[in-house]
Amino acid sequence: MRMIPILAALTGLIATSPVMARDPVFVQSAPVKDQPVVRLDPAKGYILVDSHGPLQLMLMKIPSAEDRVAYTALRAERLATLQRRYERAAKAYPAQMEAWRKDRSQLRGDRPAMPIAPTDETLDTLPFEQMTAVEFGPLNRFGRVSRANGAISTYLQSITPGRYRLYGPVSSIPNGSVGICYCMGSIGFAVKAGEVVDLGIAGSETFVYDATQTAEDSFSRQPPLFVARPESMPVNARLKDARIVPATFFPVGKLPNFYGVLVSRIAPMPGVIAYQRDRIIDLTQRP
Amino acid sequence: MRYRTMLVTMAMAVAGATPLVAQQPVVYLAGDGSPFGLATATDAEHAAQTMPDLSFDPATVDPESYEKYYYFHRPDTDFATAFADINECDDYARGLRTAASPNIPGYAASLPGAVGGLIGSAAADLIVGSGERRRMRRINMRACMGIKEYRRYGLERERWQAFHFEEGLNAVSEEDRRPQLIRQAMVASGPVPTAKVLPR
Repeated sequence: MRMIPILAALTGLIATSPVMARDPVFVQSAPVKDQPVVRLDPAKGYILVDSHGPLQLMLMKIPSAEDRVAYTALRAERLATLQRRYERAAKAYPAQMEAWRKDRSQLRGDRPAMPIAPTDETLDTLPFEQMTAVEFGPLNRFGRVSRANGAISTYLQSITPGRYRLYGPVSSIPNGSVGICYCMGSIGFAVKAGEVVDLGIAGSETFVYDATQTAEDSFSRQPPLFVARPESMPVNARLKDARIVPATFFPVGKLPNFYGVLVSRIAPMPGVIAYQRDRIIDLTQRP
Repeated sequence: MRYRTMLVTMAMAVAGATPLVAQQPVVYLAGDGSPFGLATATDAEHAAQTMPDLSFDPATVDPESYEKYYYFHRPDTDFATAFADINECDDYARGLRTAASPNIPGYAASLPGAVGGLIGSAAADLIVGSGERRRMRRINMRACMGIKEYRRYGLERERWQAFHFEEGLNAVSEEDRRPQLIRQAMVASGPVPTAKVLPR
């Protein structure tokens, strides 16, 4: 119980800071401030989502061809740096060892560790996905509207144009992250410059069960995470001049549990993703 | 506490979703396999392990203990498939594979990296202690194996310990881990248990 306020404080601290690479910067992202007048940058893409409750989502970029080249170069550069460091250490090692062997004083430390040559496998560069992780919510809401059936929170965040996957409701704190990763199946969508991609409504209140489907059918068991925005729920009035496009979702494959959180997958989504055991069915493709 | 319970419930709910019973042809997503690659065991490794003893008298065991002590089985599953599945789930469940460290490029510059360097370790132990990590491991193994439609059966503690490990803050080494995963796969692909199937 005592841990929860600390957890909440840490979550709050981290929630505002997208995890970003320094060199090169693959993804830049920031929440759009809740101001009376909103100006969107045509060079940036935006993500919009309404939610029945506070929302906490982590996105990761799906690498483009250019991203792959840049990431490979970054790894190669890191490897070269470590290789140079290793060569220096290996050169100095015999003398260090000799000095250690001769040292008979009480101040003699531990035996010097033999330098180990770096390899691509042992490289400590973060995976591309983790390097491009972007969190949004639950803080920095763009708006909140009270309704008879509960409040709706709106989140609006700028993001580098590209293709992204939903990693899940994850809040990352090194060595102590919380949430659920959709490691075993999720969805992605594209963000274009000058566009606001509308993910729709997060939450199940607007989900209508299809009574024609059997209880064995996974579609009828779980509401999808996002449902398309109904007519009755218009986009925030401050975005009336923005170019808003409904997200086109597609299924994406499995990813490791980078943050050591709970493992799951996104609920099946009609027309997008379904499952057979742990196999992912692409409903955007016709058999 | 409520948040944590909710997360667990959500994870289990999705994990437990019955898959689509599809007679019609479907298109599988290309590259929908394990993100860790396909794990394999050689025939020699397999042959070197003995089938664990699963016999015990359920009357002598508190069913509550099955929350911790259980094994998986799926009918019509061969050893190679079970071994690959158990390894994939083990890889999700072993948690932080990429330890955050200030010398990781692209990480130190971010606030989480800085916070991690200062208070990360202390906070991690406070928030996710060893017992909590062991619990998370159990939940993730259940969620993942449940998604793969393995059934869960209870086991007596000592029988369980003979071919399972728990993993908290201290990692279990590869050489200790692998034989146990092989034996778990032997059980998962072995004779169909007569015991009661537990909830996923």
